[in-house]
Amino acid sequence: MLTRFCLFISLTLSAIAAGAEPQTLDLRPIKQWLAHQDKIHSISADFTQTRAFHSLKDPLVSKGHFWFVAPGSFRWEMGDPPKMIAVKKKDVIYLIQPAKKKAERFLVEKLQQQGGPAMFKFPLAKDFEDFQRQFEVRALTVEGSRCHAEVVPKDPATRKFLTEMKFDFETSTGKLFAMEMRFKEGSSMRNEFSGVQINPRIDPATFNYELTDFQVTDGRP
Amino acid sequence: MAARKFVLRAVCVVALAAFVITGLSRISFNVDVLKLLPTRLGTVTGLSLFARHFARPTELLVTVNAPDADAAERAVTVLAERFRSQPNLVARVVAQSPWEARPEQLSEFVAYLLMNQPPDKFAELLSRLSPEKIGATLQETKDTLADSFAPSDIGVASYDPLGLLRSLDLNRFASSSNLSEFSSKDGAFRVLYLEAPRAMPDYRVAIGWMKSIRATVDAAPLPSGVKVGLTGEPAFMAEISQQMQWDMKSSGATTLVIIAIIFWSCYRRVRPLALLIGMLVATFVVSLGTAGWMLNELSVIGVGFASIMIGLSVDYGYLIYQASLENRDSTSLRRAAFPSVLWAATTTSAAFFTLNASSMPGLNHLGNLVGLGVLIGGVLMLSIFVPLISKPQARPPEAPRLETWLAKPATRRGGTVLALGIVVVTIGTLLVRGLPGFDTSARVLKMRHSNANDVLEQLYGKLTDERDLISFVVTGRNETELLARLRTLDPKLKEAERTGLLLRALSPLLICPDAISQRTNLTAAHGILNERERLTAAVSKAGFHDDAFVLTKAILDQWRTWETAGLFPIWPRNETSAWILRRTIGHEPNGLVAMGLLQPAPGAEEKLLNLQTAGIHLVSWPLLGRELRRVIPREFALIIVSLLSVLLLLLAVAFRSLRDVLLMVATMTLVFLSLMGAMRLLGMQWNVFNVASIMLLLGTGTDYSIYTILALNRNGGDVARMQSKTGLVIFLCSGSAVAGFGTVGRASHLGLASLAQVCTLGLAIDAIITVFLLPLAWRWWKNWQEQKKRPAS
Repeated sequence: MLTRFCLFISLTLSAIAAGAEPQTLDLRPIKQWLAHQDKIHSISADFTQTRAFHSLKDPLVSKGHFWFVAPGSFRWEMGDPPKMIAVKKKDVIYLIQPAKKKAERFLVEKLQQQGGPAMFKFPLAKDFEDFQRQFEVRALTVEGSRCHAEVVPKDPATRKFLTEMKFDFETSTGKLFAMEMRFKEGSSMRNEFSGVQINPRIDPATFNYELTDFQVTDGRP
Repeated sequence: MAARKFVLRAVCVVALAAFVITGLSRISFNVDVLKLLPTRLGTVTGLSLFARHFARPTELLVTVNAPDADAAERAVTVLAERFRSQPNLVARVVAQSPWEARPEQLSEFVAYLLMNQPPDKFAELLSRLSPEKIGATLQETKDTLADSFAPSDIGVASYDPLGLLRSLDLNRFASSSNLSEFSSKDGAFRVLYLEAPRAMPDYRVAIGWMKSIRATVDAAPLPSGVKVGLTGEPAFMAEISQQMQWDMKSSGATTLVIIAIIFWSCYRRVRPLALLIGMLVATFVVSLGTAGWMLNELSVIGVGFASIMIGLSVDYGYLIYQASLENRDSTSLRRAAFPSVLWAATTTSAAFFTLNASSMPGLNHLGNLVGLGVLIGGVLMLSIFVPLISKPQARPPEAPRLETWLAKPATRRGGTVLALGIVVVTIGTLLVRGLPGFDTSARVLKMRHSNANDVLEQLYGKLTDERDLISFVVTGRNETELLARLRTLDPKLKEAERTGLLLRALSPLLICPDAISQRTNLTAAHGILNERERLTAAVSKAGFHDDAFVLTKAILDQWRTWETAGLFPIWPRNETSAWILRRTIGHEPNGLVAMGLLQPAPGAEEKLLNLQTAGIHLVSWPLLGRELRRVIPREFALIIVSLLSVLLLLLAVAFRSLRDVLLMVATMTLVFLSLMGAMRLLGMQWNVFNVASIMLLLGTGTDYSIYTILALNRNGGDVARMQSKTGLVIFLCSGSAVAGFGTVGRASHLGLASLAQVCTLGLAIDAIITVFLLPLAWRWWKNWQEQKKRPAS
């Protein structure tokens, strides 16, 4: 259930940290990006998310914000005030609906077992070889300092629902402008980032969401 | 007069032949291991129901294990085409779930689930479609699409703008979304489901069909590195039947060969040997033919009867032949051999017939077959073998060499030391290491080697890994009773989840047809069925394309169809619905059976047995093992005590001597203690099958003590003479029985094999202790009694 979202999260975080990479093409931008990852300790960014569906005449647009602190804590908020929040701290992820006072709890280990190891890894790949093992780069174009990459996951289980991912990033700084995921049933999800801060100071309380009075259930992956 | 006698005999022979041949033609193999177990146990009923309805007797699973997903896909395509091109061989090939191939068919099942809900939930659903609320409902869908992190919610919402599916608690009946019946996560392991064109009434049909399937697979041009496995009921049926055939033929033939070798090494006479072997074959054929009239199926345990029965029936041949050395005419020979054969056949068959007191049909089956065979063997030996063996021979009989060897003092001393050594070592082991354990696992119910089982294990591991889940089945005479039982069970499951006994429970309650709810809901939906245009307009106004209304339209159409038909209870019937229902609810001759899944908390499995009530059964091999352990030892203890009482009574009548009876009891006690010590030494354990060996040893092993004591009484306590003559017969008998049981010790069915192994060990120990220690004890006691009498006189 959460696998697509998790993949989305990890890809987003990885991409924001640096950029994406091609394969049989000139993959040096990807190598540079992966080299930058070690220097990332935290991220804060605004985003505009556009979801397009076959069944909808117009795409749906939402705004939000997310935070990340190494090695693996994140918080993702959709809407203002937030309609949906995802918080990960240590081995647990909570999906929270503040308005409905409901939360679902997921164990990361269980999600990894059932959703594949690529879903919860950040950095997305340990190194360049690891990235190549997970993704096939279909296209990579560079215009000035701006790079556009299109990749497909190699994991057959992921390919069953995720057909393509696209990244737009700056090679000189590793800064991400946009990331798009296309799904097998024809829908897509594009995130355009703004106000990206690398290594800002983030209050640890950001990842402690108060769930008193909430109905908390164990979610099924 | 002679001609009339000849005609009479000929008529008898022809009648017997007709009787036997007809009986033999009725026999088939039953490969169902559950038929060996007590049907009164809830888990046995559950496993049987599950096998009958959800394991599907005509469905073969073809697994494709490839180096990568692409190779697996190519192999599946090739195999599917090959099978589809042979409609006479395969009626249906399913290589992907029907809803993936034809997703539009899924709407029928969704419409059914919605219609089958409790009326209050359905009314809530309808109210969300009212003119006042439909705008909010559509906005909620758009919010989900815009904000949700859950792909499943997004996927459903984009094709369900009116949120009809929101009212379904899908998790209550759906298995985990990660489970697939067709492919592993990496796509390198795939499964095809083949449906045989017709039922398989006979194991020979299954064997033939499996050969054709295998030939098709072997001829298919598959990518390199692809391995194809076959499993499912037809595969098990063919495999186990072949193993059973081989077991019966090989163990029976091997036993005959060993008996021939034993007889030849002892007597070195061709004619008696040929006659004896002929009699044993005749005994086997007549017994099997007779058994065919009483039971038309041989179980996996029953196939062991051939060699066991031959190994036991040959005893009477030995007794008669040994007696023939001193009694040359048939009348005196019959008179000399009759008591021993009578006592031996009676006690042995009584022991085997006692197995009927067990609630395990497998042991009843074996007991009846061997008991019958032993009685027939006794009758045939006395009526046919006696006159044949007592005819004048070219070379007069002479004392066998083994008899001379046994008569030597050195041999007898060595034997005594051997017997004492066995007793000391085995009982010492018992004192140091304790009694053998009791194996409660389901291992002993299975076959030694099974490719079909290996493939099935691989399939579980690669696809679903449901091994930590326990299935349960619920039966009902009709939909109403089934529903009532599921409703009774539901709060118990929820309570078990609340208390932590269960991690989760997937009940088929939502799927079980509820005629009352269906009728009420369909009546309530009548209005909405006429408001399709309003709904379409609202959906379009909210920004959805016409595509978004396809599922809703299909659901409304389906409801309209059912409303027009007016038949209750409603069952979904298209191909996709049938595929889903085939693993969830099935029809059986006496009603319906439904299946659900439970995930117990670690260590809480046994407590789930309390969920079993009328019509509700758990399906679990480990729980079956625990239930058997709870029931079988107690049951067998009762049977053994009863058998022992009968035996003691018989012995008291036969011997009319307290000394002889007590010596026999002491001998058997020593034998059983030594047997348990030897089992401990060899790392063997008791199980639900080999525990029956206690009864068999009581029946067959007692014979040796009877022969010994009768001989000692007859010859006035001459131990040397008894050991050389009767001892020889006992060794011939035990050697043959050990050969019979020993060959079965390698049988494919592990339970039968373990039973035979314990019997082999027990009989060997019994023979050695009886021949070398019992006579010494008997003489010592007799001397002591005489010494006591002397001063008095």
